Amino acid sequence: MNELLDLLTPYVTRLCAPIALQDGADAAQEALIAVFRGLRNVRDPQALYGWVRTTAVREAVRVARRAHPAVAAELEDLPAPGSLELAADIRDVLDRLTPEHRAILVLREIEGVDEKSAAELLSISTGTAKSRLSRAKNSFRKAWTS
Amino acid sequence: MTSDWPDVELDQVRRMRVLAASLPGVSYAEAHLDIPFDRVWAFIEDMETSMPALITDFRSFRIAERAPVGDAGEIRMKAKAVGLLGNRGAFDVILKPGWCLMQSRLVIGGMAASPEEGGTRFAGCGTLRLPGSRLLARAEGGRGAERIIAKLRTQLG
Repeated sequence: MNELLDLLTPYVTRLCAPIALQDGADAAQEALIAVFRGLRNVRDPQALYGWVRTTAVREAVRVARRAHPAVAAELEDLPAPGSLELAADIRDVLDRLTPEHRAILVLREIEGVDEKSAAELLSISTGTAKSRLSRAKNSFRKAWTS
Repeated sequence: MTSDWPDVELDQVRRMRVLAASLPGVSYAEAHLDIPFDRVWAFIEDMETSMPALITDFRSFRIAERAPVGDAGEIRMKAKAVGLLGNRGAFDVILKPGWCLMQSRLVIGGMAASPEEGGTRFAGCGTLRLPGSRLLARAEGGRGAERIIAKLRTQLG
């Protein structure tokens, strides 16, 4: 159990931190508790990381929404690319997104999950996932390179 | 690009919460101690002294083997505990800064500490690896772990 905790903790924190931001440690803790409580139901060791990823992303979104229930700015409301406000860093851009938007960025950019799977995981349509991701990536890229 | 994304460290007390949540029938408690982390952990690390002082069931706790693992200050140990009635138990121990996990055939116990403003956050847990440990824990109400914290306060106060 100690070894599994050592093995999974860096993976879970890497997924939870960009989604839950200031509540990243709470999210990672909750995600790991959910993972360890559900471990006995995992039959196929090869599916372990996929299941841990799903659990971690869902817990991170849940914790972030619970901690900050006010609706964050939608991507459409972000400052125009190139503005001083946007020329900050990744954290600043992530701060302006909803937990669900941060989750889709993490799934695609860090984890390389396809859009259909990401949409299923976040309980949204593939079309919504696609458009959100496209806008998120554009904003992100422009913010990062400006 | 991923190296620039926000990341977070999970401190040892949070790790202990995860471990405790996954152990059936566990007795768990945590508290803030107005004592610096280094002092708390130096006491815990001296396990032949600290374990009998904190765990009332132990008459003695002797380290039989000690082997460092990796470069994070982790030590794996084998220890022999002797109980109040002369009963003996062999424990595998994992000890690293802020983290101590002990397992025998019958018992799992852990302690964790992290620096916290004005002192240390300390957590302790324990459970029996036997059927019925949930019932026992319910009857015991987590007082075993609370007793360890109370004794630690007394020892370091």
